[in-house]
Amino acid sequence: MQKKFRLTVLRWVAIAQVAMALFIFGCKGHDVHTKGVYVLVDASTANADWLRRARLAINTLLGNLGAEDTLAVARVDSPVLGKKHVPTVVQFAQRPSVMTAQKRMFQKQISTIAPSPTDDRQVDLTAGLLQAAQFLNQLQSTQKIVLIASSLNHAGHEEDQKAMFFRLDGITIFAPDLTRQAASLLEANEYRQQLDRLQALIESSGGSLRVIDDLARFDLSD
Amino acid sequence: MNSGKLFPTNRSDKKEWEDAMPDATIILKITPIPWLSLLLWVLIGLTVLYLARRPFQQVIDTLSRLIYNSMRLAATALKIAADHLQTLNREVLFAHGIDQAQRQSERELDRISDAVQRKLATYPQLERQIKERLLTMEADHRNSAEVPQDLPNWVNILNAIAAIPSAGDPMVERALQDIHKTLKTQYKTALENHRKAMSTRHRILSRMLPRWNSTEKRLNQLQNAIAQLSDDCVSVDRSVATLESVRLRADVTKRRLLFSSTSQFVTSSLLLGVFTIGAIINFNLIALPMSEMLGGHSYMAGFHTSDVAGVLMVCLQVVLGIFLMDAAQVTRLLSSIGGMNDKKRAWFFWSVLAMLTILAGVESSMAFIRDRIASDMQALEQSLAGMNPPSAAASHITVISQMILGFLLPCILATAAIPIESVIRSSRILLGMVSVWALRLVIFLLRLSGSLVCRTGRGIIRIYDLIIFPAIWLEDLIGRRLKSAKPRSNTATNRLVDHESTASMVKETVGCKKNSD
Repeated sequence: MQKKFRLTVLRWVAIAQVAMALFIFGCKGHDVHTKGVYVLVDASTANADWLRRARLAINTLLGNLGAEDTLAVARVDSPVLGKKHVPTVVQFAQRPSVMTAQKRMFQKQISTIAPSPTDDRQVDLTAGLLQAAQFLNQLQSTQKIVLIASSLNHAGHEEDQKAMFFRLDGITIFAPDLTRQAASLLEANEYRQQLDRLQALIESSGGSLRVIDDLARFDLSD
Repeated sequence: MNSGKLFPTNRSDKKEWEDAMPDATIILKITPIPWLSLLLWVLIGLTVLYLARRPFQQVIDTLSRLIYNSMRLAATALKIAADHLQTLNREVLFAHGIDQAQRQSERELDRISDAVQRKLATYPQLERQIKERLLTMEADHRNSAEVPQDLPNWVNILNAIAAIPSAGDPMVERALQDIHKTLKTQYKTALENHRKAMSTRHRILSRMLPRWNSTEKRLNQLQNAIAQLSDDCVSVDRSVATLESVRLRADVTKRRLLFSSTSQFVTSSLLLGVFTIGAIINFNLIALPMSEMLGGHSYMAGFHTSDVAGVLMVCLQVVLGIFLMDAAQVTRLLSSIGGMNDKKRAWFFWSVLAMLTILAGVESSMAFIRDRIASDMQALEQSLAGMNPPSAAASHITVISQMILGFLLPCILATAAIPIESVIRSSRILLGMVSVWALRLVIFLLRLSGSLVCRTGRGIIRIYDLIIFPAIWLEDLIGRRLKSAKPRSNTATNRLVDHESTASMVKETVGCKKNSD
C-alpha cells in the first residue's frame, strides 16, 4: 500500500511538472515593453517658466521610466536643425542600482540647463518634432512618446503643414493644455486654436496627440 | 419580403409578409355556414387524432421507456463505480490508518529503546558496583564480627599472688613485687590492645553506613528506571491495541479514521496557507535583489526572469525542506530517501542541511542588498519629488531584522514538508469520499430524470386521450353494442381478449416500474 501511495505521489508530481512545463512553454512570448521619450524644452528667457515645468516633467518621467527605457531631452529655443544640436540622452540599465545612479546623474545634468537669452520667435517646434521622430524611430522601443514643454503658438501653421515631409507613425505627442491657465476667454480660445492646429499637423503625419493638464503629473500608459 | 428575416421589422415588410401568408379564415369557408365548417374541421381532426392514437402512444411510450431505461442503466453503472470507489476508499483509509498506527508504534518502541539505552545501559556497571559494595560490606561485617580477646584472668592471679604471705622474707617480698609489677604491665598492655580492637570494630561499623546508603540510592535509581519503562510499555500497548483495532476494520474505527483524516486535512491546509503567506513574503524579500543580479527587463515565458528566479529559490527551499524531513524520517514522501541505509541517509541529511544553511545565508545577504537598493530608490524618489532625502543615519534595526528574517524564513519554509505530506495523504481519502458523494448525487439525478421522463410520457398519452375523448367514448359505445349483439359462444373468447387487452394496458402503464436495474 505504501508503495502504491508513493507511486501515486510520483504520478501527481509528474503531472504537475508536465502542467508547469506546458504552462511555461505554452505561454505566449511576452513582448519586451520599452518606452522611448523625447522631451522638447523651451528654455528661452522669454518663456522662463517652461524650463521649470520641463524639469518637473522630467522628474516625473525619471520616476516612471524603468529598465531599458530611453529618455532624451532637447531644446527647441535654439536652431534645432544642425550639427550643434545634441540632445541629452540616457538609456536606463537593467540593474536597479545602476538605473538609480543614472537617474540621479541625469537629474543633475538637467538641473544644469540654463535659460538661453533667445527670442520667443526662435522656438521651432516643428523642427523639434522632426528631430524627435528621427531619434525615436531609431529606437527599438514599443512605445514612442514626445513630450512638449513649450507654448504651442509656433506650431501647426500652414507653412509648417507644407514643410511636414516626415511621418510620426506610432508616436504619441503629449502637449500641455493651457486653456485652464488662460487669463481670458479670448486667450483660452487662442490656446484651443493652437491645440487644434497642432492636432491637425500631427494627425496628418500619422501621429496622435494627447493633451495633459499638468506637466508634473501625467500618465504614460496607453 | 426580406428573405433573411423571419419576421417583418418595418411596415412595408409587414405588409409583404401578410400578403404572402395564406388567409386563415379560408378554413371556415369550406361550407357556406362557418360553424358547420368549424364542426367539420373538428370532426376531421378528431378522426385523424383517433387514427393516429395507437402509433402516437407507441412512439411516446417507446421514447419515454428508452430514456428511462438509459437513465437507469447509467445510474446502475455509476452505482457500481461508486461502490467500487467506496471499497477502494475503505481500503485506502484502513491502509492509511495501519500505516499511522505502525508509525506510532515504531515511535513508541524507539522511545523505549532510547530509554533502555539511556537508563539501563549502565546496568552492568551498576550491578558490579552493588556487588562490590556488598562484598565490602560483607568483609567489613566479618571483620567487625571478630570478638577481641578478653582480658586474661590476671586480676584473680594478681589477687592470688598478692594474697601470698611474704612471711617477712625480703627475697620473697621482692620476687612477689616483681611478679606484681610485671603482671600489672602485662595487664595494661592487654587492656590497651582490647580497647584498640574495639575501636577498630566500631570504625568498621561506622564505615558501613554510607555504603548502605549509597547502595540503597543505586537500587532506587534502578527501580525508577524500571518503573519508567513500565509506563512506556503501557503507551506501546495502547499503540499496539490501536493497530489491532485498525486491522479488525470495524466501522467505529473507520469513522474515527475518517474524522482524523478530515481534521488532519483542515489543519494541514490552514498551516499550508500560513506557509504560503510566508513564501510570498520571502519572495518579496528576494525579488528586488534578484532583479539586480539577473536584470529587471529580461523575460521567461511572459514573466520577469528575476521573478521566476525568486519563485525558483523559494521552491528550492521547500524542496530542500522535503529532502531534509525525509532524511530525518519525519516525513515519508520520497521512498528513495527513506530506503537509504543509515550512513548514507545521515550523509544526505547533513549535505541538505548545509545547502539549506547556505541558501538561508544567501537570502540573508540578499535582504541586506534589498534594503540598500530600496533606500537608494526611496532617496531618489524623494529627490525627484523635490523633497530632501532622509539623513544617512538610517536605522540599523530594519536592516538587521530583514537579514534575520531572510535567514529564518527559508528554515521555517523547510518545515512545510510536514503539512504537505499530511495534505497529500488526507486529500486522497477526502477526494475519494467527495467523489463517491458526487457519484451518488449524479445517480440520484439520473434516476429522478428517468422517472420524470417516464411519467411525462404517460401524462402526454393521458392528455392525448383526453383531447380525443369523444372518439374514445364512441369506440367504447360501439364496442359494447357489438359485444351484446354477438352470440354467447364467443363470450369466453371475448373475456380472454378483454383480459389480454386489460393485461396489456396494465403492462403498458407499469412499464416505468417494471424495469429493474
